Amino acid sequence: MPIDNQDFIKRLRAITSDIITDEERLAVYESDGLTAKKQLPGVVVIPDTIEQVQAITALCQSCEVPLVPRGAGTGLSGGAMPHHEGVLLVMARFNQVLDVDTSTRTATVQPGVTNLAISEAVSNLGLYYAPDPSSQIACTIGGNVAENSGGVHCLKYGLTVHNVKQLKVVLPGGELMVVGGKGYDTPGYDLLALMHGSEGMLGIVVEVIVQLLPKPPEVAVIMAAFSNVIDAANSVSGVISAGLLPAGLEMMDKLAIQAAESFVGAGYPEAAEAMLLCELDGSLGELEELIESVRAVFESNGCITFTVAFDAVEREKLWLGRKAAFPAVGRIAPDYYCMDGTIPRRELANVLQAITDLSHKYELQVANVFHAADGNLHPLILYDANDGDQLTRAEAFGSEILALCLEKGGTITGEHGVGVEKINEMCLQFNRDELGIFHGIKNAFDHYGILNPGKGIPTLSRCAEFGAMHVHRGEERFPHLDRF
Amino acid sequence: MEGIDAFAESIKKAGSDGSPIQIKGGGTKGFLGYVAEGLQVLTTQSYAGVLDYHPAELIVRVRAGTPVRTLDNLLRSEGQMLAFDPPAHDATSTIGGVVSAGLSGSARPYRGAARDHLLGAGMVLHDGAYCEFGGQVMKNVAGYDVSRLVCGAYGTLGLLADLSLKVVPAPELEKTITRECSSDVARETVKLLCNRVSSLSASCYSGGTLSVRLSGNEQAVKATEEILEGNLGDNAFWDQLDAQALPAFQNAVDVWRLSTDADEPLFDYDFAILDWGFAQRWLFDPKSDPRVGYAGSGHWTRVRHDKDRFEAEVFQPLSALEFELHRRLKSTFDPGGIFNPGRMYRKEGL
Repeated sequence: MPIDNQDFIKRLRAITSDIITDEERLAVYESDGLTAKKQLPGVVVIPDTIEQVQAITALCQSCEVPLVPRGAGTGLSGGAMPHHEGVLLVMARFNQVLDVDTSTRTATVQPGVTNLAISEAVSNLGLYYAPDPSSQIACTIGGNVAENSGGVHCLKYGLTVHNVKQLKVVLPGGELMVVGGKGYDTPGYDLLALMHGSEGMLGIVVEVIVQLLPKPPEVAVIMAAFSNVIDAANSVSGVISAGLLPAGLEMMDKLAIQAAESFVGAGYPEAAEAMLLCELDGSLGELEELIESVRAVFESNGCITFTVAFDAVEREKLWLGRKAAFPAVGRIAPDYYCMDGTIPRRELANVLQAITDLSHKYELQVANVFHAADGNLHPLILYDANDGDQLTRAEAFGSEILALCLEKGGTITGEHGVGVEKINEMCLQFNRDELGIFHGIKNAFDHYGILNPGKGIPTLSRCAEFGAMHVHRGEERFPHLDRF
Repeated sequence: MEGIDAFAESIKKAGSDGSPIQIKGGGTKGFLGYVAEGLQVLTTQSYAGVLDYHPAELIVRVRAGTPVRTLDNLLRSEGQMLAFDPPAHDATSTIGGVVSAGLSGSARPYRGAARDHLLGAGMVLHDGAYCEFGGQVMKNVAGYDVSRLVCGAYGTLGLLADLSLKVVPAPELEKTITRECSSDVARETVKLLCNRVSSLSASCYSGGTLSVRLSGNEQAVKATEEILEGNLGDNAFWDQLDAQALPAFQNAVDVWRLSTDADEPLFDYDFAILDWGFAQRWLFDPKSDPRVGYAGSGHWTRVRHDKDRFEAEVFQPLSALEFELHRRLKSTFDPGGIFNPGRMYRKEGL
């Protein structure tokens, strides 16, 4: 048994009997979506009530045992990777939608409810929850808060932080705190914003009130093909410059188009070098004009085909190819490595060209599928993990892409989080003083450092070591869910 | 020496002298929160100007001392705007002041708050170090969200120097519609518009009149107008409301704001103005502290007051647990207590 402190286990068992200590069953939880980062947890605890979470947290603090919260384990940066000498707190039983308030269009949900289940629960009321990471069928709202998850509709509808009104949070001492409220602000510092994207390092989310939106009466999805990626990239900037704000604007390059087409047969233009999917929504009568405006921009940038789908089934089919793009790419190569950098949109064409050049340099293929309107890139580097040299090249390739994103004024992670995966690259993005503030914030919430230790924020000594070693990335991952 | 270097020197000197400072932009929000006496004033007003603006990025990076109106004019000239209706109390109000006070205008419920549009912040910390948090891109989850924490912190955590803000395309058309009705009908009308995709971008009920603003392209505005009969109003109303420049504000000496669930009853309060779809409520010159006996879930701010009237905290007191977290955060950012001490809560100089 990884945790051999019988007294601790006994005290844990006094709180809840749902404890896993045998290695065979612990192995189920050895990683999150970053499957190459594996670690058996010391013990897994599956509480049912907030009071149990409080008691477990307080016990861990008093014994200084690490505590790692976990939702569905779909995260892509190892944020929920277990700690070998710690407790893995599995929030799976917190899976109820507690209340839907149609008057304020809010839903009170437990953190283990999946992202999609929220929208399904309110669909008959004509409402939905806007942020839609593509793992939405499996990922939980608690995890979405921890990572401040995005999705294809961010540009118009925002990230998780823009769509959550209130959280109930258990602090490391076991205290329950409410942040936010049903109004539009709260007194004091904005702790609600601070909790978003904090990767389970400041508190454990035990209840969430989300803002719901009315479903748009009219939706159209435009599919446009281009003879080169530069034209497609320029079209993206053109749409924004024209004062249009699409609900989603996504790009795929030739390799991604072909992989997706052979996987799901969405009707994509296989001969095209690049493709844009543009979703427009609005009130009745608004849509025709928007479509014509987009058409004008695309055509002036050399688009070769332009089709519009209004019908829900047709739209679904077009999105299916996009949503299945990652697993589709997974079919054409033994392994792929998914990056998540964000750049200023005007650098799209340059960065895509640079990625192509790097692809030649490292002799590895790369497929690009990404949130073009947000400048959030997801280059998928294709390699074979059984070939050690390819793995090394893929790692170096990935690191160069992230460094390129920073050089262009961007960030090392747009939506997948830092977790354990990008902890070294944090040293490239932030200086000593900035990291000092992050550690101060952590210390203000979690003085004993029990919550998700070793994630998110690197220690200064780690950065020094990283600097000395230059680049030493972890292993790769093989996500089993389709992602954006 | 000027700009960031000058700020850093002043801040380091304040630290070594143990002499706290008041950070001041245009000086138009001195009425909000406590201002301790005898502080040195560090003004950001001369630190103005746009650092980076590419309209196609939907992002503007600007120095904190830039007047809100100057920034607004620039954005409008490119067909863009800040979505949250930043209130400009007068021509000298700075964007740094608006963000530091976390102020959002009429569009708040419909287009988001100041903090929702703050993508990154460059700050001068207590030891003079210049730090950047967040970024200049739409999506960024690297590190804790310090820029949003600084928004609404009233300059108690550091000097906000440079801001990256998300901008949006300005609507083709904006139209204000007014109608006479009871408060119940007004609340239901706004709710009806919120329950569907509409062009609603502001709402206010005052003196028996409901005013709403519709924004979007012509078809979208027209579609909403069809379900909302009324008279054509003046779009300038909203800027005056957000700047607290309407006569009702100007005539009051003790201005209270309740921010709460839009659905909460009005209880017995004689609110003069209800905006944000009834989620923001303004009470003028109450005879006693309205917090006493309040049974709702919101929080009160004493936005302006006359010192001869009754004593009351400016901001809603925090619970002991919340206060302790605030105290620890404050001491992380400002261990010497030199930034705007007591501006939010006099206790422990927060």
